[in-house]
This record gives sequence, structure tokens and C-alpha cells, in this order.
Amino acid sequence: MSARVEAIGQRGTGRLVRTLLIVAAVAYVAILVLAPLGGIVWATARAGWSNVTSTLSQPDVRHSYWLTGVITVISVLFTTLFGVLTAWVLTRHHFRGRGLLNALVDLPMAVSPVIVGLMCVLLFGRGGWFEAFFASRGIQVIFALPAMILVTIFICIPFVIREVVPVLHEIGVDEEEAAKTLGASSLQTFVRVTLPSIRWGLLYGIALSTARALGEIGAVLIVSGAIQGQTETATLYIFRAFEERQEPSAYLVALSLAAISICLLVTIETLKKRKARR
Amino acid sequence: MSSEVLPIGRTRTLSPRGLRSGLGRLGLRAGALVYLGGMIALPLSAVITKGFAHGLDSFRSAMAAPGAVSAIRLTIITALVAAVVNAVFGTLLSYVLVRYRFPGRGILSAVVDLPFAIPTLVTGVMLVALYGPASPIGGWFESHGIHIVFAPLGVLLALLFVTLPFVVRTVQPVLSELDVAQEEAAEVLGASRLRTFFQVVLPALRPAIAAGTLLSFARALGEFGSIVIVSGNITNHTLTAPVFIFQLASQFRSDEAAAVSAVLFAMSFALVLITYRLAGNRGERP
Amino acid sequence: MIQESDARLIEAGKTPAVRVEHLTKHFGSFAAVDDVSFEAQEGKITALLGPSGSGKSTVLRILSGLEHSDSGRIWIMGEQLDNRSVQERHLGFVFQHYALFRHMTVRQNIAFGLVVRKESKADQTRRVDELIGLIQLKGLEDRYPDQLSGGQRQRVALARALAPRPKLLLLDEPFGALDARVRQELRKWLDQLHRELGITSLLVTHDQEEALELAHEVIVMNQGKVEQIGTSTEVYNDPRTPFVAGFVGAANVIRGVAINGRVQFGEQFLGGAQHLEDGSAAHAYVRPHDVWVGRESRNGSSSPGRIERMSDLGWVTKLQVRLPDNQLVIADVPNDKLFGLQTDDPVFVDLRKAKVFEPPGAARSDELSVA
Repeated sequence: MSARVEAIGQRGTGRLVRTLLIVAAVAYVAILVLAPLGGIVWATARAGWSNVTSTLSQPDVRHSYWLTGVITVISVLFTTLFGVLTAWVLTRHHFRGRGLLNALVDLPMAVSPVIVGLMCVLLFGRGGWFEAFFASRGIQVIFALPAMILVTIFICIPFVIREVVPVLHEIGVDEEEAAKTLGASSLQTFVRVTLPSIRWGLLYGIALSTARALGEIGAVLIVSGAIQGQTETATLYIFRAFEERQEPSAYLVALSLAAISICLLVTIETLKKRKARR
Repeated sequence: MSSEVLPIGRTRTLSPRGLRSGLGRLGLRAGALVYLGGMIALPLSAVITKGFAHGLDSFRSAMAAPGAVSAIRLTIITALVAAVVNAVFGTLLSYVLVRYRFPGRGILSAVVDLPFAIPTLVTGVMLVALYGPASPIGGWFESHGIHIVFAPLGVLLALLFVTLPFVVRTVQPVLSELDVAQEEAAEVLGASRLRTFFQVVLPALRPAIAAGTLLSFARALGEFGSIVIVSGNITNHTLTAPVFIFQLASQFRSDEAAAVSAVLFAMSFALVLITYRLAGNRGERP
Repeated sequence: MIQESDARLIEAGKTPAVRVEHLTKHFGSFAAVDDVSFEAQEGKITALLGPSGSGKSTVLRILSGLEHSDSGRIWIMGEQLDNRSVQERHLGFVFQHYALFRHMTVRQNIAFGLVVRKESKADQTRRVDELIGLIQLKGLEDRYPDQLSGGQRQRVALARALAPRPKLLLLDEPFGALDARVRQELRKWLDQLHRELGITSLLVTHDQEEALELAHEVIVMNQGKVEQIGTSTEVYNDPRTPFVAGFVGAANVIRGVAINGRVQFGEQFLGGAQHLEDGSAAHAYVRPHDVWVGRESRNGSSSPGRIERMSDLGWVTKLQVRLPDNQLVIADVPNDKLFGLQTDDPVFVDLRKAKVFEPPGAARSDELSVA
């Protein structure tokens, strides 16, 4: 098949068109994506090693990394667990209202992060629907960790589901049925048969959610109040450093976030490919 | 025989065992429903109720704020331009990735996915690092009268960066599943490569291209992180709708913020619904 | 109901291994399985034969517990199973597309049923080794399914189903996904294996040759209903319904009208229509190798015709004979019985072995009018 694809790619108008198309594609991506990436690497490098040590020694910076880590871990765990459950229900159960559920999954993609933040304020902020309930129990939601986690979860919901649903469709129910006829319980079937089949899709979805959670700004900016050293995440720190004209620090933290996300995705892609080649 | 095989989700057994598994199924289903309903539907209904609580009054008063109208106009125009550019270059990229084998193809494919990995705020920072006044490249453009950072062009670049993968990733699978035999048949019948592309390949890709384009448009409408850095948020010049909502919210004018949000959300939601129709309902596919 | 069945069991003198009574299953308004009853004997292979969509796979899936019937009862080894879950039924199931666990090796696949039933490690190893020997895949234990050929995969699937020592083996089109030559080989192998193990088996297939060759008894199904139950010889030589006559083995259909216990087609007649009313439509089914062709009329049931085409298949020649009323009959004549017949020769065909039925369409409309 790939030989035929290759053949059709090279026939006819020939090499000139092919070369032109490839050059155009590569140039577009290079200018749009690689150049800015190069830009920030260059800008960070130019600031030198002293920038690294001075930035990373600031307690605010350290705290912001820690906070980002906490929010990311909790939100990703949550969306992974419920994401797998939801994907399972969407593909293996048939019931009225499933179509509606399916449509809900993609909604967070269509909602601006700013609106997500605003929603949270409307629910838990002053005069919000649930403000009284939590206030009377002494739980601070808005301008605190709970709200920051809630908005991050909202934004991460689609990733695991979108990656796992097509895989669940593709593997079908054959192997699951085979496991049951061999005496495996539903839980055994899921853990021993389904989970290994969806693991790469699942991991990729987790990596995408992690990348998204690490870098979330719009929603968190609104619900956190961005209190320095308290509710300031890494992205919020970058935002403030930029406004305070401490660009080198902003560059460094931004680059580190990008590096973490990229490493995560590249690792999972490589693992997936190596496994597929086996 | 697969036509006879229905999903394992229907039983009518009333034995204790069947009842137990029926309850388990119901539990899972309820879990999914509460998750999506509580986490997505509920907050969204809050924005919509709040936004339209006073009819369109809140929206009108928000629109009366300085720069409001121009913010919405700028958002729609830049998102539209980004979507069109994406349609063209996204299709080109997926064609090159699927149909050509060349050194560096794997890297190109990986780079297309980068915007999914890079935090949007970092995108903004990157653009400033490259085109900002402090950088030699930025300085060169400035001296030639081309303003990127703190100008609408910067907003557009940020949107293009952020939405790059959408068209590519929706078109690519369709293109690679497209039967090469159709193209071969067209060529055997005497059609030129160009004609084959426009009359055989493109019509088959049209729904996917449209879906990817609409998705990137919807995403561009709501983009915040990269723009808030790169645009400078200058009222009547580079202020976009999401940043405008942010400003309203931080001034505790949440009624007005909700009104603008509801309108912005309605637009993106409509687009996503159309995309759904075009791409076919994922869950229904057997 | 139960008493009545028990009485019948005592009468029969022994318990059938599988017993299905009035099984019915609808998908929406479509009756996939429509009042199906049958029995299968212990230690034998029983085939469910029918075209796709005839409900045979659904019957198998209901037996396994993967699907639930709307009504009807199932006994396996004398035990009523309708309320048992798949896991509790402890049956072996071999799927058409193998359904091997892609992420497990051959060994892990076969061991799966033993692992989930928490058998001891030593027992697992012993049983798996034994089965790998049985399916002749020694040396390939550590391969993954995608490193095996189709035939090898199906043998692994069989070993996996057999590993937990099921009471009953259910085979759903086990050779359906394989090419013709491998099918033949595996069929022979399965036959031999069954002789060794003697496990009661139900085989679903749309391939009549497979059913006739492997099965002790054949249950022919069509449109959710049982058409006929019998040994291979019975269903082949003595079809009870036009469907069976047409589906099991190739058959010519000669269309005519019943008159005085005979079928009239054009000016010609053939016998065997005593059960049909005068003037009703009649279809006569006759197998190509049961058609006698010669230069002279043998008796009253011979009809004149003309040879239109001859194709030599090596040991037998296929003749296309045009009858006077323009219907076509195919005859398989052994080459040593041709006696120099040529294309365009006028001949007589003897159709006395034909089975006469009411046309299937007519029977159906009758049923509908009764309902």
C-alpha cells in the first residue's frame, strides 16, 4: 500500500511540484513554529547562567512550580479516572441521552479559558450559586486552590476521552467477550484485556492533558486572584514577570514549561512507535 | 454474522447476578453523567443564565464600554483569517505528510503537533522573544515599518501557531484512508495530476477540511494565553474579546462579562455543532 | 413444563448434552432467532448450518451467555443455564476472527482462562504445555498473535478455549476467515482432534461441505428458524424443505404446476407431487449429479432437451441442457458415462430423483395469511 502511495506521489507532473510542495510545507512550519521556539531559546541563552540561578532561587518561582505541579497532578488524575469511565460508557453502553453526553465532551474545546474562569466565579464567587454553601462551611473556593483545580479539570476533560474513545471503538468487543467466556469477571476483563489495548491512547491523552494543565493561564488568572507566593502558578508568574519587565526570568520559566510538555509528548510518541514496531 | 451482534449493553435477566451487573452498569452510566453534567453543563448554564438574566441589557452595557465593539471585530477578523490560512496550509501539510516520503518527514509531523504541547502563554512569550523590540529580528521588522508585537499581526501569528494542528490532524486520517485506486483510476482515464487532485481528492477531503477549519476558527475565537502577551492589549487596536472579558471580570463587572461570554460561547458552540455534523458523530461510528 | 421435559428425557433413556427449547431473540422488531429447539448429543459435533443472517451465530451467543434470549430455555449437561452469567457457564468459545489477546503471547493467551480461574502455577504450566503440543505450535509459545499465520492463530484460539476444560465447545465460523486450502487442512485437523478429545461441540458454519464433513448431526437454519435436523446423509439426500434442498448441495430448480400427483413443466411431466394440490405451483429440486442424461428416453419421467454447453472438469463433465419449455438443467455426468455426447446433440434427461416442493414464496404467504 505504501509503495502505491509513494508511486502516486511521484508520478505525473513530477519532481518539481513535489519539491515545491515539500519546501512550502517545511518553510511554513519552520517560520510559524520553529522560529519562535528558536527565539525563546536564544533569548534565554543570551540572559546567561546567572539568570538561571537568580530566577530559580526566588521563593516565588519555586512556589509557583510547586503549585503548578500540585494542580496538574490532581486534575490529570481526576480527568484520567473519569475520562476512562466516560469513554467506556460512551462506547460500550447504549442508552437514551448518550448522544447528548457525547456532545458535552467536546464543549470545553469550544469555550474560551477566560469564560471557564468566569463560570467558576459565577458559581463560587460573590453572589454565586454555591457561594453560601461553601462559605458557611468555611471552605474558600475562589481565589484558592479548589477553584484553580476545578477550572483545570474543566479544560482537561476532553483529552483523555477523545484519545480513548476511538481506540475502544477500534478494538471492538471481541477480546472482551473472549475473556468473559474464559471466566474473567468484568473487572478482570477490563484490567487484563481492555486496559492493555488502550494504554497508548490513554497515555497520549494523559500527556496532552498534562501539557494543557501545565500551561493553563486564562481560567486560572481569573479564579486565582494571582496572589504572589500563594495562588501564583508558573504561568501566572510568567505573566507577572512580563508585566514587571523581568523578561529574562519569564523566558526561562516559559522555556522550562515548554520543555517539560515537549519531553512528555516526545517520550510517549517514541514509546508508542517502538512498541508498534515490535 | 456481525450484523447480528449487538453491543453487550442490553440484558433483561432478572437473576440476582444479572441484577447486580445491571446495577453496576447503571452506576457507571450515572458516574459519566454526573461527571460531564456537573463539570461541564452546570457551569455553562451558569454563564448563560447570568449573561441573559437581564435580557440583552448586560450585553448592551458591555458593548458601550470603550473598545468593546472593536475588540469583538478584531477577534472575528483575525480568527477568520487564521481559519482560512489554516485551511490552505493545513491541507498542504497533510498532503505532503501523507503522500510524500522525504527525509525529515517524521520531524515535520512531530513539529506540527508542538502547538498542542506548548502552553499558549509560552507561545506568546516566544513570539515576543523573537519579534519583540529586544530581538534583532524584531528590530529589523520594526525598522522596515512592519509591526508584529503589540500589533494585530502578532495576534494573527499567535492564532496561527495555536491552531496549526487542527486542520492537519482532521484531514490526515481521511487522506490516508482515501483509496489510492480512485486516483489511479482517474489517471488511467487520462486526468492530469492537478485535475485528479481537484476533482477526486479535494471533494473527498472537503468535509474534513471544513471540520478542521471550523474547529480552528472556534479555538481562535477563544484564545487568550498567547494573545494577552503578544498583543499588548491596546484598547481599540489590539484588544481582543477574550481579553476584554478578562478585563471586565477583573473589574468585578461579572454580569457584563457573562453577557459577552455567552455571546462568544454561543458562536463557538454553533461552530462545534456544525463541525460535529461534518465529521460524523464519533460515538455512533461502529 | 419441566416435568414434561423430564418425562421425555426418561423416555429417551439418556440426557442430551445440549438441549434448547423454544429459543427466541428479537433485535428491535427483527426476529433473529424464532422459536428454535434442538438437542445435541454428548461427545459429538453438531453443526448449525445456514446462510448469514439465519440466526445461527445468535443461537451460539445465547448458549454462551454473551447474548440473552427473550424467551426459551437452555440445558447444558442437564443443568438449566438461562440465569447463569457467561463466566459461570464455563463453556469454550472459539470466535470467527480468533479474538486472541493481541498484547499477550501464545502462552499467555492459552493460560488466560486458567489464570483468571486462579489455578495453581504448576497446573497452568502443565496444561498450557500439553495444549501447545496438541496444536503443534511448539517453539512458537512466545510469539504474539500478529506474528502467526491465520491457521496458527485459529489453533491458538482453540487451545485457549480448551484450556479450562470446558463442558462444551462452541465454534463460531472457526474457519470463516481463512483461505480455502488452510480451511481444508484445519478441518481435517479438527476432525482428528475431536476424535482424540471427544468433547461435545457445536459448530456454526455457512459452509455446507464443512458441516457435512465434520458433524454427526446437522441443524439447518434459515431466517431464525430451524428448517431440518438430521445426519449429513439425511439433510443431503432427503431434504424436508425447499430451502434445505437448495442450500445443502447444489440443485436445479424446475418450475412447474402440480397435476394428478405429477409436476407439469411445458409438455413434460415428472412424478413426486402427490402431496400438492392440483393446479398449485410446484418446484422440483434435483442435484446435478442425480440428473441422468442419455440419447434415448428411459421412461415416463424423461424429458427431451438439447445440450447447449459442455465443460469438462476433468473427471466429470458439466452439461447445460435446455428443456422444451426453455428451462435450463445442469447435469454432472462422469466422463466415462458420456458416450460421445456433443454440444447441440438432442438428448433425454431423467429427473426422477427430483424432490418436489411448494415454492418457498407460496408457503410464506400462506403462513402470513394464517397469522
